[in-house]
Amino acid sequence: MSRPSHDGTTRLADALLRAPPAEDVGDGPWAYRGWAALLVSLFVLYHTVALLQHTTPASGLSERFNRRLAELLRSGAYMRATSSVQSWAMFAPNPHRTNMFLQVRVVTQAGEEIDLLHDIYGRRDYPYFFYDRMGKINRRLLEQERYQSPYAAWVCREWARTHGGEPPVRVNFTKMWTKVPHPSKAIETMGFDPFELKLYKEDLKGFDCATTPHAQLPDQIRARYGFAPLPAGSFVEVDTTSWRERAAARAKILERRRAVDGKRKRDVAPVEDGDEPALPAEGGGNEGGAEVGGADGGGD
Amino acid sequence: MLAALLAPAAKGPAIDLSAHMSLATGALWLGLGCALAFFLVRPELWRRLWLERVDPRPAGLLRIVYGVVVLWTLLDLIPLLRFLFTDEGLWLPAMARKNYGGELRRLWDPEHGFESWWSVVQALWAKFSLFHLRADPAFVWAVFGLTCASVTAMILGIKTRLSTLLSWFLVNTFYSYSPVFYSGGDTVLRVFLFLGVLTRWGEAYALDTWWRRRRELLAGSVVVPALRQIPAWPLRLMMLQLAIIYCATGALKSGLTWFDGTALFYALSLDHFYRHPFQIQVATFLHMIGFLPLSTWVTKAWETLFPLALVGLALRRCERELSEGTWPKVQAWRRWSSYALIAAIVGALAYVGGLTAWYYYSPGEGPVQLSRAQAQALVVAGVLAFPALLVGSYLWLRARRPRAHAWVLRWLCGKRLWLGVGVIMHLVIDVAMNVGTFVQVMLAVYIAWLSGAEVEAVWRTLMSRPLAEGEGARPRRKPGWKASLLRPLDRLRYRGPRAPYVVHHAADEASIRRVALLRMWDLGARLQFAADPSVPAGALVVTAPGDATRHAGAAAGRALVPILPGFWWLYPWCLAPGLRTLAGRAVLRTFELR
Repeated sequence: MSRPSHDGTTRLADALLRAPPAEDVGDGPWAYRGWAALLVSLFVLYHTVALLQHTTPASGLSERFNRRLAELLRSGAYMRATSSVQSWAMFAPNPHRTNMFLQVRVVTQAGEEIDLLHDIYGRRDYPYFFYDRMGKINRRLLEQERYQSPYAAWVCREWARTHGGEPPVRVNFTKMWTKVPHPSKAIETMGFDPFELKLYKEDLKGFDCATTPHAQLPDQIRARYGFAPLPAGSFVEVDTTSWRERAAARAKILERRRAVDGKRKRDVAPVEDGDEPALPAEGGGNEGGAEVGGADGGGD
Repeated sequence: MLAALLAPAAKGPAIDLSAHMSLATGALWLGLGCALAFFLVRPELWRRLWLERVDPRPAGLLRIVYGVVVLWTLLDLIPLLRFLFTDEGLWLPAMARKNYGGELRRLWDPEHGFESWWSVVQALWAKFSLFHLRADPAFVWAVFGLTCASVTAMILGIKTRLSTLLSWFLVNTFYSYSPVFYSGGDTVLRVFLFLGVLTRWGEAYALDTWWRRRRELLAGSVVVPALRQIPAWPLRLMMLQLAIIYCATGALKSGLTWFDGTALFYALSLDHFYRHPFQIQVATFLHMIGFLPLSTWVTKAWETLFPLALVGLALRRCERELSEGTWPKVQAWRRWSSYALIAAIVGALAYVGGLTAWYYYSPGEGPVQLSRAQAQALVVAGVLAFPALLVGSYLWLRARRPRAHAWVLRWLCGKRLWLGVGVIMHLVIDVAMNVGTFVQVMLAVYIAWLSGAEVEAVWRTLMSRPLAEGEGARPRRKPGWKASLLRPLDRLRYRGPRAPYVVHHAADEASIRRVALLRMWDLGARLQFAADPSVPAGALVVTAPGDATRHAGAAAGRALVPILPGFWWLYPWCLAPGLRTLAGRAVLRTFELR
């Protein structure tokens, strides 16, 4: 190896193996300039104000301001689109002072009532290492009653799925709860056994598997498991209106209008025969129909 | 945030606010306008706040730690995947779509699909989940597998922008299907994943960056290629988001139990959370001795006041730049206008606060008899005086009590107080309560608050050794209980570098370039390099401190595993007899060395 190249590799070794790593000097301290800076600034400003608006309660004297700001920014839509919807009422305004559980029972076709052991009362293994979301869901069924019907529907379907397609008759719910004693009471006994606390019970509204929406195992899933299809008309669908159904409904309305207008036209025909522009309202309606023409056509 | 504080928390009988609603609304608009005008008058502060470039290492570390928490949360869902997301579970897709599909229920028809291409855009803009379209188990499991793969790619930093965007979309397919299973941790995870999409967090500790730097170095670079700095604003938004989480949750804790100090006792005694029923005895004892009531108040105060951590950061930055002479000088009129705008904001808030007191204060409720007008005046005076007092005290300390001022800056305004209390609080929560991955995700996002130098200090501390008593700056303490108590702290505080591992390499250019690649993985600066004519070109020999053995081949690769954090995941392999050679070769292969 010649002397200069030896020097070269020594210098290279010093630079690569011993000198501090290079620093990104880039374009100075700023990430953006000009239009880019303006656009980023506008976005940051928008996000910040929308976030503050979204996370502050709209009540009291700030209610109108908050509402108008939300309308101006369309912050609700932005938060939903970015999956940034948030609420931070953790243990607020107070932590729960009761332990709540929902006992779930099914009444079978044979008339037997069976506890499905969905609540965690007295059933959890300790130490509690692995997070049990079902325990949280069970409590949420009581906190937010709107979940009870879909949950009961699922219980009906699941029972049918695991029992040869035969659904139970009914799902019954019982609210159970214990009250955590005030600390002053707990201090008297130096703590308490949570399973020695008085267990309160209250029967809640039950759900019939035949009439509750979606409580019937649909044919599509029945086919997966080789079950016979449901009798015709026994699946209780939820009320949904897609663009297709709206278009069909609009088409029906238009058809009815046309029929009515046609009748009117026939009635006045001796006077206005051949006078095309005599039906502005109808013409508008037809245009409206043309607007969703694709939909109408699709529906045929 | 301030509006939240001004809003009455407790639900009482409806009060007719119409007489002052317009004025209050006007005042709040004025406040918002003044806040915007402030940054128009002082654009240099806006630029400093959002538009500067920062070291990419905290963002890179955040991506990995946060990504692992996301993956953990996803894997945690496996036992419930069928129940929560498939059509054999809680929801048939039509019901889920109707309840949670947002606009999709109108835009999409199960038989005919979307109405038009524009409907797809509209559906994506609204809350969207793939499972609202299809939810048979095979599809759900396929999406789940894809999501895990995408999050893993994000963690590793492979096509990071794309994998982060895909992770955000796919993770939200699970979260948007139905909210029935949400916990606090899930909300934090969702919110920060969107901010992650905005962050260029693949510029450090990422395979993308490694491949780029390796390419540059092997192509002839005469320096170790730099890490590219990244825009600061997404990280700053993350900091703001964390401050909002804490402040909101603190402000919303307005119930009696947070004031009488019993809240934590109840929280720790709930069947749904405690790790073991035995804890109830411990909680009772801690309540009896006053520890839990104190912790309750500290928690509420710390959460509510957490935004002060942001103020502290800004103040420290300002003080540092003032002392360095790099703080921007502005014309007097701009400075005074900005002060006037701040005063106007405080004034608007004081006005609305006073009106709130007038409407919601019930004479006779407080410890001192006050009329409504007096309560209003008191609130106005308080809102006006508090910031003035705070600023005045700070300026006085700065001018007259430099040591106290330094203490305030270091502790009261420092990250170590605000984040330190948070770390302790979350660790205690995790020990005492099972709240899913809430603790992990909250601690993960703290990383956004660190600077590049702090991240480097963490690596160096991890790779260093505790100094012996009397060595260097570490004091020699008299034996006794005090010394025993302080020893762990001293071991953490007084540290020195460990002896280096020496990498022997051939002196040719190609070999130098290849061993230089090792420096990109050497986060604790544990490597030294020595040219050695006895080492063949393209190979390396490693000697560990205190060991004269010259490790070559796979053994050399294996010897490097403990000091290169990027390979720590190979450590268990190195312990398995059949796999250790493979692990060593994997390390060498990364650098194309023998």
